[in-house]
Amino acid sequence: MSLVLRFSVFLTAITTGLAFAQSTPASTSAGSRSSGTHPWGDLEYYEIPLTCPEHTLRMLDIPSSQTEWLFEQTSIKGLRAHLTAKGFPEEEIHYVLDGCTAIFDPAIGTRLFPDDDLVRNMPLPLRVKTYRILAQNPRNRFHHRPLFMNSGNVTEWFRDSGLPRAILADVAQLAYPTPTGNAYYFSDVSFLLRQAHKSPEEQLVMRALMRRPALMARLKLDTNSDLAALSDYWAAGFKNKDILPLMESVVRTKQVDRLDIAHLLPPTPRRNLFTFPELSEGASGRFPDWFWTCYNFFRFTPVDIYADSPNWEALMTREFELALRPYQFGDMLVVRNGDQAIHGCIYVADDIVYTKNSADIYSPWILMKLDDVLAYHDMRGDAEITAHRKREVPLP
Amino acid sequence: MKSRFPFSSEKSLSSSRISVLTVLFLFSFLPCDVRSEIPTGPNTTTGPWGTIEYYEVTVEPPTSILWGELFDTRSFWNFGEHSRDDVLLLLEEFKFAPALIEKLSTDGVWSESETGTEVDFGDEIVESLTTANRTALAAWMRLNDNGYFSKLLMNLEFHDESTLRQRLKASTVALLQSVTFLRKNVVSMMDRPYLMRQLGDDEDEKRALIRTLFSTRSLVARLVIDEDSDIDALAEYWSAEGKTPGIRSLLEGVRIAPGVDRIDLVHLLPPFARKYYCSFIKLDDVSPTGVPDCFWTSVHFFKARSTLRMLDKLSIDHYLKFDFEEIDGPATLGDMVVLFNRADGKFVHSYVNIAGDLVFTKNGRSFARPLILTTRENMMSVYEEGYDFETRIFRRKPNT
Repeated sequence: MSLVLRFSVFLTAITTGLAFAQSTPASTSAGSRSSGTHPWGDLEYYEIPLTCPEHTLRMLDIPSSQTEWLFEQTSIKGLRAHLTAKGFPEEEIHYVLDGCTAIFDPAIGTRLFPDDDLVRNMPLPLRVKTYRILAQNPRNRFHHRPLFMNSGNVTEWFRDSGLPRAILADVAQLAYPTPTGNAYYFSDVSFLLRQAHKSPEEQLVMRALMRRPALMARLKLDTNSDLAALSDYWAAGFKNKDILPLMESVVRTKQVDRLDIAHLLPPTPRRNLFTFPELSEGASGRFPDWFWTCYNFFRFTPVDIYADSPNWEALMTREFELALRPYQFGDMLVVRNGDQAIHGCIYVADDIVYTKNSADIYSPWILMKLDDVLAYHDMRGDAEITAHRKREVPLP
Repeated sequence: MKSRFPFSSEKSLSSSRISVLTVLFLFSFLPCDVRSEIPTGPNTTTGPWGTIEYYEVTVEPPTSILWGELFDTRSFWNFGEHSRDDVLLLLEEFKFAPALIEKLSTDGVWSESETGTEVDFGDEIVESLTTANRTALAAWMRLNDNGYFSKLLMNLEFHDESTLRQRLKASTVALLQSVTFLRKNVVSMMDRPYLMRQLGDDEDEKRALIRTLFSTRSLVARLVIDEDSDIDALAEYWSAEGKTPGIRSLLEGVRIAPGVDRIDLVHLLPPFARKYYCSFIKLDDVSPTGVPDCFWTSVHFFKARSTLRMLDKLSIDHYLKFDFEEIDGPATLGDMVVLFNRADGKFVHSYVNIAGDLVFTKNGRSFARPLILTTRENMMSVYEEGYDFETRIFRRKPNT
């Protein structure tokens, strides 16, 4: 109920063109700060939207403007039974199927092509329910991995994107809340492309939709900073000791009062922060995924190992130990749905994590708030986190 | 109390090179009851790269990377193929006192090693050397035996005596004072073994001294970005003709983000430079055939990752003629500037142009010297004594 209420404010706001941050998840866009006494010190951070580089965007397959939903069932009867089993009452099944053209393909299932009216006007609870089912099939590309917005303020989210107001209104209409209610998903990329009649317009829409919310964070340092305490936190038990000389120097330097967090990261994440993978990153046959990102956080020379590598859990046991809150710099946070690891990220400070949210080339290495990472990946709303701290010495 | 450096904050960093006056201040023993600060900017440079603010910081090697040889206590000089008699004549040219030459002749332990004539000596000889002796000896060593010279001589980059006093005992500062000398504008010393002997069993002080001796000046720099910034122009410069293609996205993101008006330069550098910025070489980077130096740093600048191939015994032309093209200038982001000795054409040093006077480099092969962002003038201060360079600029070809 609360989700629906909040979303109604969201919709109203976009139609009136007002800022409506009060109705949205907490935003860091205007700058946030962790004041008070924290082991990591005094952090300030800002949200910056990262857009895929042009050369990467050009590799993106532009979807058809005809919305398509794919179900595995190969007959209308089977599809109805499936929806019934998923809790759809008969009137909702009618509502959905009556608005669709169907192609039954024995090889892949039922392809439904909803008309514009259905896509646009589907009630929010029904949209959420339907899209969750579609998300289970990876061939429903933008339902399986929806675009993610951690703000309900569409105007702000797409600031300076060049998107016309009509498209922003569509986004506000079609976005739906994540299971945790902390953010919004958007899956109807095809629908938006109806308004893009020329290639530059397509690029404009896709570039705007592929924005990624990243945090730029800085540590406040001055001659009164408790260098010993800060060193203790950021060195992570000497696993990250190499950053200490620069931190020491900045503390001594009066006019440098903020140090970008990049300088406090180990070399490999510092190299990758705010970048999208280049094609050369995949020269060995794979692009880095979340496990590659986490496992190599403290490693100067990365090892090619991935979330589906057969030995990853054995490596976790040997090189990491389970940890509890409070998390420490460098802890690997594994997000699990039941016993399945669906994502992992590295704790930095103040619930800011270092993450790569997908193995594809459209997913940069960024800093995000942990809640946003959870909202992004927790498609079922029941995810749990286990924390793993790198051992000083691996088990034999 | 601010730094006792004899310059004001309005002056550029180039004025901060250690001068004769600085040496006097450096080792003055005025009371210092207030915590000192490193001289700071903000300094700025403006051009096609936008406006960059930069601040000086110093980076000391962490204790963990200090290796045993740094703590050696054997004082010796190597004179290459010169005979003992030749050396004794040379020492006269260096204005060594006759008694000191006699002492070195009789008390010094002379030997012939694979690399030439060597003489070992003790504390008394070290303590008898004048600043003029050291200066003359260092100048000769540089001209005649660069390999040995680069191991023997250290250029010191600390800022003021109060900084030293924070790190070292007063007695250690006094010891250091006794063995330093000037080479043009650079404070140098070549008696590290002597200092180690004097510190005896005080291992903590030895480590502190070594870290202090290897303090290296670098810069923290930020590009100013506001709503008036010309993102097209900035992206053109920082993309380096497409060699760092993702930069525009970041610049645009910063421009439209409320509250963000500066971006640290570390984010605008290519991956290799980001990884090594203000960092030290790791064992992963070393092979039996070599260790990373300025040329390794320069060639790798636009590479996605480092390669041990760069440490193979190959001519520098192997890289300059295939991966790079020589340009007339002016240098832009990522261009490699190579200094050759004008007399014999030998390679002396290289660095990477960043923007304006800012360069990215590594001074020497030492593990204890980090890769840094610095000003060209600061970097070149160690090359002012007796060098005559030919400077050539090379630009990495696309897709190499």
